[in-house]
Amino acid sequence: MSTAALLRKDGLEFLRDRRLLGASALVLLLGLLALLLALGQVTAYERDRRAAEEQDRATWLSQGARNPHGAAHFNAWAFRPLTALALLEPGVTPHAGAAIWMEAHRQDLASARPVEDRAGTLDLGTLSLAWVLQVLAPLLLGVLAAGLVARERERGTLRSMLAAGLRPTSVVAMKARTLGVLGAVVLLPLLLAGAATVAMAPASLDADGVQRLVLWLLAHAGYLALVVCLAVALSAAVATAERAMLLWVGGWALAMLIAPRLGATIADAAAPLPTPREFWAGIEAQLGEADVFDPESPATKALQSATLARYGVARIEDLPVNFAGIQLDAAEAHGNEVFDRAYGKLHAHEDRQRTWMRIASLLSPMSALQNVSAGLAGTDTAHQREFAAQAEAHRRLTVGLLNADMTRNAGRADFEYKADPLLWTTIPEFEYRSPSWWMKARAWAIDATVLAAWMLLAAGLLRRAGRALAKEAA
Amino acid sequence: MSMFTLLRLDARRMFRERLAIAVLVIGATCAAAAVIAGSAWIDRLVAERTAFLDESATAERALRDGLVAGTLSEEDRVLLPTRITRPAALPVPTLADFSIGRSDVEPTTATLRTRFRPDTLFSNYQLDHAERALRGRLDLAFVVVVVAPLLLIALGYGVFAGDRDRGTARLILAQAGSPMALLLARSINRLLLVLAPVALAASVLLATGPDLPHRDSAAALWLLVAAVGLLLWWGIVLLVNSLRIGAESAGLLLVALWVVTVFVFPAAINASAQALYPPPSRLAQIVDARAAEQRVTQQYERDHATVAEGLEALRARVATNYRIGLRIEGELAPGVRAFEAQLAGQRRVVSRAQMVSPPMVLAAAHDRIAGTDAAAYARWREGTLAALTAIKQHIGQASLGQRVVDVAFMDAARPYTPDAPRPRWPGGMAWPVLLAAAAWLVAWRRLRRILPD
Repeated sequence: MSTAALLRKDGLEFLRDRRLLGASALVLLLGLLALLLALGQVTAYERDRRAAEEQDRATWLSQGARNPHGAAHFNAWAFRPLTALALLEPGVTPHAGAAIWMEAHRQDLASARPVEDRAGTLDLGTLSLAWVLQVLAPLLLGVLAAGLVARERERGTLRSMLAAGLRPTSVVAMKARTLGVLGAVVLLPLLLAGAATVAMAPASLDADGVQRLVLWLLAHAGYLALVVCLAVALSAAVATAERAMLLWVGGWALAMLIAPRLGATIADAAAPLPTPREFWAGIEAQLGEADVFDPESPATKALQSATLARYGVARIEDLPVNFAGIQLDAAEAHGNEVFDRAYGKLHAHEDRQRTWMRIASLLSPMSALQNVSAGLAGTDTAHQREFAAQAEAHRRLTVGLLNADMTRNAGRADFEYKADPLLWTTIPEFEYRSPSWWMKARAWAIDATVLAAWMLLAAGLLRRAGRALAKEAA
Repeated sequence: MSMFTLLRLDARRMFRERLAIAVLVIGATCAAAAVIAGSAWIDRLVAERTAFLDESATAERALRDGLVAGTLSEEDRVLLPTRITRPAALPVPTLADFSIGRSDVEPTTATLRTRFRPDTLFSNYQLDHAERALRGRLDLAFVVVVVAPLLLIALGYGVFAGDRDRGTARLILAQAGSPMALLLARSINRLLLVLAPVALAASVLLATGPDLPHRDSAAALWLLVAAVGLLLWWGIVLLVNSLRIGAESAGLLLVALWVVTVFVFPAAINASAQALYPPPSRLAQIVDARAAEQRVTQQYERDHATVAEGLEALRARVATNYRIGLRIEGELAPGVRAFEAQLAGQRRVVSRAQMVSPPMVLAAAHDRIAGTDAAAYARWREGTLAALTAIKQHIGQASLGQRVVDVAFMDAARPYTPDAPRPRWPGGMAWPVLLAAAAWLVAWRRLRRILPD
């Protein structure tokens, strides 16, 4: 029997089985629905973001004459743009803040998490093409595969195939190819529709975006191939189609539902994050250690001495610059050190949690793929941190510029000084520059390795299933 | 054969297969993980609330002591209306360890003071690792609503269909004596196998958890809802077994039903609710607030130029800031209301559409009893905003110089710490109860007819 004949036979069986046809149609429809909803949401978000940025800039420019420090407190907001691939893979974006206030004295956390604006129930994942491909498609492929070899064995046709001269390893390989083709019939249109939707995304698709898209599609194709190998190997290894299906569904539930949550539970227990209160209280305490506005504090005295020495004068009143501006700048410098330490510790906590969660991906290739997928889509933690880091750099730049104006021009007026409105035009707008995919690839390199290991394991299991079939035939 | 003997024989037969052991191990592992996660979570909520209230009390005491001792400077006395704060704290949800629900997303505390507005009241509480949040939490509600039905399906997809496939149905029925006895024995054993780890986990959580009001009665209700859910799923398992199909088809059908009702419908319903009632853009809300802040301030300062100096200027500044704050709040009020209206719309869509997915109804019922559902948090936000308005009106009298701040005036500003509501049987539960009863009844009638085949 040739591969084509076997493919025809299995294809016909698939077409006759309305249960499988229905399940495939459901996955296809759900994937398309996910794309449609994502296109609407991402387009609306990007429209709102651009409008918000324009309005906020207009507000900034129309401040009129104002003290620069007052303006630094008011400052601006950074709004996170969504990449084109966010249409396919929302990643952590529903749980990560979309906006950061870049105010003076304070490095704020990102706020406006989309998850806060939902009122759903039994939320087991955001409906997206990635979710359909990563979670539902393996179930469908497993169900399609359950009977591919096992049913041949049940009917006795496996023996006939082998008697007709087919090598057992070829039977397994041909069945895997059959499942691959059946899977492609259902899932390839989804992948193509995904690519087409990305092309319609509000964010333009540059060379980096195209590379990200190609890699994303390849990663998912590899993952689905892995699933095909595992599912056929299982069907070849067990006695009945019924048992193969039962084991697959059980394994699927463990890998897709339980293992990721178990990993998160262990991560929470092993590396608990500080509470918001502890986090901010720690920062406040450290900020208070070098208060340059308290005339009696050693920090203020040291700053005064250093400033007087720098300008070669004996009294603050004789300084050719405004001392309040210098104090503000010193406070910012101290604050920056405090924030770097606090956020560094917070990120270290998160990284430890990530390590624990990664261990769960040894039980489930889906977790590894999710990290790779979100990394490529620009919707992972590394990109979120990049957004926060760029916003923070911009905050420091603008506050520094405003403090410098105060220092230069306030004279004796201190906080009564009002800067010329032209100053606001010299402050640059925040513009997030998305890093290229390879700059952030380190964040998911281990996950890609785990995924590759899973692929090798799946291929090995398929080979082994073929050899076991040969022994059975002998 | 007595029911006890029948139960014993069926249990022995069930445990001869590795499947029952696997189900027990998976159920017990998940329940244990749920206990660990739930315990840690509720302890954290209790600790956070206590720390917040202690901190607020300390700040209030310091202000009050200064006022009583007369040690406050003139400037501090003028600024007092801006410094009086009152805590608003949600009671720890009664069963947050059973159903984490939205307790890991929503704010649970807020500081009420004159300069805070509804759009900025709940801020800086969102310190969560987004990637961890993406993986979800393994609480007891997840075990009951998602995992347990799958375990029941694994145990039951061939419970009668398998006998028919193997041709042993007549023999087993003859041993059992009656279809009813056989059905009951098999049902009781399998339901117990799945329910036992859940009940044990619930007992451990109750025994080790904090002493909160109404916790025992809430746990009893919660377990009752869990039992209804499992009875419903087992009724469906029996119903599918009563169809004249083989075990493989029965398994496929049951898994499809599980996937559709637990995964597909909830995802589609939640996404549709958001699409039908999209909340106004948060980003627009932020920039609108900033624009309003600037516009109102500029306008006010143009119209009311301050000429005073020293303490009088400070007094004028306190009054001005208060008036400006009220005006900004007035401008932003429609946006804040629109937000809550859209979220209420989402909740309405979900509560109506979830009828097609009984697991959604059950999950909502669990969250509701636990006090971690979206509606409970909406009520808390609403109450907190009302308390903020009341505090602002009260302290505003001092800001405007109409009242002098003394201890009695300070004490008249009340904190907002509502009591935990008494748990009630969730209204929507009539539907799963009805479905469970119907599934059992139809399955029983059909199985009675076809078992001898």
